[in-house]
Amino acid sequence: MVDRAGRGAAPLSARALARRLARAAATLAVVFAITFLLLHLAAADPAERLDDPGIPAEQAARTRAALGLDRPLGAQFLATLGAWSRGELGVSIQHRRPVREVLAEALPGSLLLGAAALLVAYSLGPLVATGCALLPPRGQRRADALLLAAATLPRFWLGVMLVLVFHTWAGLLPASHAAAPGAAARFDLAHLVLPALALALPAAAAIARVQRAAMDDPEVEPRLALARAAGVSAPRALWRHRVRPALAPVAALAALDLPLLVSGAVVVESVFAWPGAGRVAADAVMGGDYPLALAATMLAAATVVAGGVLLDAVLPRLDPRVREGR
Amino acid sequence: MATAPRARPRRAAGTALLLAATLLAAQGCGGSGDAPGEGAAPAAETPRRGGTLVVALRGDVDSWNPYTAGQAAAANVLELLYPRLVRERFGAGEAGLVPWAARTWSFSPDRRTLTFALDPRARWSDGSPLRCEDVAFTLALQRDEALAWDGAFLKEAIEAVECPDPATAVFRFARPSSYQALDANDDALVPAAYRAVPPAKWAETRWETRAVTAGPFRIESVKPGQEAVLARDPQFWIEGRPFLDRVVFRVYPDAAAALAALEAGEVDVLDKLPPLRAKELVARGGLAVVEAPGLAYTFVGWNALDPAAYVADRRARGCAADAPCAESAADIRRLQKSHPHPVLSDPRVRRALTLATDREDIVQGVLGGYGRVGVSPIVSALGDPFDPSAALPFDPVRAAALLDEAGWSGRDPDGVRRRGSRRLELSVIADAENGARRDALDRMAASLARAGVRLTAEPLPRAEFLARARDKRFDGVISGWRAGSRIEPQAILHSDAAAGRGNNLGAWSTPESDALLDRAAAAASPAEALPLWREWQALFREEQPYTVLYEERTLVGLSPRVRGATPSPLSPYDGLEAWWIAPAAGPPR
Repeated sequence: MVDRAGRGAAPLSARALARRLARAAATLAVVFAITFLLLHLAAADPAERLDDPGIPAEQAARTRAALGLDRPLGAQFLATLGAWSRGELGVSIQHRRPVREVLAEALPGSLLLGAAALLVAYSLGPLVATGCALLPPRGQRRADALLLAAATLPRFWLGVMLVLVFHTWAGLLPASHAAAPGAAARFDLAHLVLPALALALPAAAAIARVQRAAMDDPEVEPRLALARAAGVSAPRALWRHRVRPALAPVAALAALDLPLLVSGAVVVESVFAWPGAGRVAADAVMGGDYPLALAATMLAAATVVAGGVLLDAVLPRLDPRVREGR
Repeated sequence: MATAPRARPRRAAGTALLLAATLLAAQGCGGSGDAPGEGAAPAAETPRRGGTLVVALRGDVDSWNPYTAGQAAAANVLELLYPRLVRERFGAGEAGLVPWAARTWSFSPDRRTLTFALDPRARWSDGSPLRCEDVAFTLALQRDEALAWDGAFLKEAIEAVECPDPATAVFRFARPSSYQALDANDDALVPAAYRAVPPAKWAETRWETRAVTAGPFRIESVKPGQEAVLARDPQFWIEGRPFLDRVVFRVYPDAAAALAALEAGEVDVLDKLPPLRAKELVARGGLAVVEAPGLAYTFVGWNALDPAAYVADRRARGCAADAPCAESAADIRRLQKSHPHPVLSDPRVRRALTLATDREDIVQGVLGGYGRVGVSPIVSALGDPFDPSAALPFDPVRAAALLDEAGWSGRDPDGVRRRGSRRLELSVIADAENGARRDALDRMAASLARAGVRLTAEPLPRAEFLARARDKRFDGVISGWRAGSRIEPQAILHSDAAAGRGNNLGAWSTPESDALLDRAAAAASPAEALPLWREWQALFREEQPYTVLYEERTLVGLSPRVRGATPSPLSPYDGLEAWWIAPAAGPPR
C-alpha cells in the first residue's frame, strides 16, 4: 500500500511475506540442484588417485562405492535431498567428519572477519561520500576517479600491499593468522586489522561511489524546493529528499555484501592464513568434497536470499520512490 | 644425461637377522640425502636444549588419529606423536631400519616369523607402557572393515601378531617376501586404549582432546585451521631428546604467504619449496635449503594401443564409462595385437623419443637443477635396486638413426618426419593445473622438433585429464608417480594393471616383463628380488614404455637458527627430536 504522506511504509503483509519466503525457498531449491549438478560434473573425482602407484586402481572403485558415488547421479541427488530434509548434511570427504561440525568450526573466523570488514566499509564509505560532496567540482572529479580505482582493486593484491607496508616495512601489524604462535586466545584483534582492511577498503570505495551518485540525483533539487514551498523545514526536507533516498542503494549493496559474513573472502583468507569458511569451501570444491562444498554453497546462498528478503522489507522505508513503484 | 647414483656400500644380501645399530648413531647419521643439509649442525656446535620451532604447514591436521586423518599435511605431524615399531632409512630396505618403539627385531630362519622386542622405556602419554597388546590392536584395527584403512592390502600376508609376553610382538606371515619388515611396520601404532571407541565412530571423534600418544612430543594445544602446538614429552624414551621445548605448526594455505613468512623469519621450516624459488633463496643467502632425495618422478607414458581402441572395446563388451567391468589382462593383450598404436607400438620409436629428449635441460629449466634425470620407475632413492646403467643418454644422432630404421625417414618441408602418408606427430595430454609439467612438455617438444617429431601438448581440466588417462585416449600422457618404500613397477606396467582402467595407463606390457615382475614380487627376500629388478630395468631401457623425464628432490627451507635438520624422502621433519636451535641466532620464540 502506498503511503503518500511518506510518514513510513506499510508493514509487510503476512501474505506478501509468505510470497517472498516461498520465492526464497524456490531460489534455494534451484541453487541446491544446480550446485549439486555442477559439483558432480566439474569437480575432481575424490576417489581418483593418479599419484601413488601403490594404491591399486580398484581402490578408487571401493572408495567411490563407500562414498555412494557409484550410484546414478539422480539416485545420489535424491539421497542427498532426503538427507538434507532430515537435517543431515553428511560427512566431509576430506575431513572425514560431519559437515556441520567442519562448518561450525570455521564460521566464527568468517563471522568475525566479515563483520569487521562490513563495519569498516559501511562506516568509511558514507563518510568518504559526504567528504567528497564538500570538495570543489574539480576535486570531486578526481575523488571519483580515485574511488573507482580503489573499488576495483584486486583484494589479493591489496592484501599483499597492506602486508608489505604495515608488516614488512613498518612492523606495526601481524601479517597472518588469527593470533600469535602459541597464543592462548583463538582470536587477536591486531591480527584482524589487515585482512579486514583488505576486504573493507574496496567495498568502502564502492559504497562511497554509489552514495555519491545517489546524492547527485538531478531530481533532488526540484523536490527540495517543492517541499520547502510546502512549508517543510529545511533539515526535514533534506533528510527526506536527499539523504534518505541516497541510503537505498547503499542498503542494496549491504544486502549483497551479507554473504561476506559466512563465506568470507577466499583469497583474503588464504593470503592472511585466516581460519574461515571461505577457505574451507574453496578447498572442498577443489578436492571434490561434494557434501562440504554443497553445504558451504547453500550457506552462502541462504545468506544472499536472506539479504534479498531483508532488502525488500527495508528498501520501501528508505526510498519513497520504491513504495511508489518508480 | 643421467647422473650417477650416490655411492652406497653393497650390503650383504639375504641377511635373516637384523640387529640395529645404536639409536644414537642412527639418529646422528641423518641419512637424508646425498647433499648434506645446510641446516645440519657444524661440527663445532653442541646441540642445545630449549626453544620453540615454528613450522609452516600447507594444510591442516584434520584429525589427531593417524587412521582418520585425511589431509596430506597431517601424516608428517602425526608421525611425531604415534610411533612405528622401527624407523625406515629410505633406500636401504630392511637393512636400513633403526629402532623406534622396538629395540631389536629378527626373522626366523624360514622368514615366516618376525619378532620385535619392544623398548621397555616406551610409554604412552597416559603413562602406560607400550606393549604387544597395542601392536596386536593396531593390526586388528588396520584390517577392520568399519575403518576401511586404505593400506589394509599391505597386511594380507600377515597371519597374526602373537604376544608371548607384553614386551615381545611376533608377526607370523603366510609366506616370506621382500617386504615383510615394511609390511609389519606400516603404519603408526595406536594404543589399545583406543578400543574404547568403536572403529565406526573413529571418523567423527575429536581426537585432539583424547589423544594418547607416544613419541618425542605430545599435543599441547590445537586451533583448527590455524595452528597446533606440540610440547616435549618428558616420558620420551631416548635420553636427552628432544632438544626442542615446543614445535608450533602454523597453517599457511597460500604458498606465497608461507614463503614470505619464511623469508621474514616468522617460520623456521617450510617444506615443498618450489625448486626455482629455492634457487633464488640460496642465491640471496640468509636461508638454508636442505635437499633430500625425492620419491616423485615425472614421465611421459606412451600408449601401446590405438587411442580409440580401449574405450570402443569396453563399449563393445557392454561396460559403462567408468564403472567396474569384467576385464582381464587377456583383453589388453588382445588389443595390443589387434589395435596397436600406429606409431608408438614400435619400441624403436619410443626409444628414439627418449634419446632425443634433452632431459638435463628440463631438470635445469623446470627444477632449477634440484632434481635428476629419470631412468625408470625404480627411482634412485630406492638404493641398491636402482640400476644407473638402465639410463638412456641424450643422443639425437642415435635417435635419428632409430627413427630412420623404423621407417620415419621422409621429411616434410617443415622438418617433420614422415612414413608414407603419415607425419610423425604426437599429442600428449597434461593436467592443465600443473605448470611444471607443462613447462617440461614445452621443453621436450623443442628437443623433439629438432629430431623431426612434432609433439603437441594438450592441457586438460583435471577431471577430463584423469578420464582420458584412464580411458587410454592419448598418444602420450605426462604424469607422475610417487614411489614408496616398496618397488612397485608391477602396479603401473604389468598387464594386469592395464585392465579395468588401471594404473598401466599406456597398456604397455610384454610376457617377459610380466614374468620378471611376478617373480620379483614373489621373491622371498630383497636379495632374491635384486637381480630380477636389474633384469627388468634392462628390459625397460630397451622398451621405454615411459620416457622418465626427471626425479624431483625434496626441498626444505630452514631459517638460519635451525640446526641438526635431517629431512628425508619420507618426512621433512624426520628425526625432529634431534633438531635444535642455535642460541646465537636469536632468543627462543
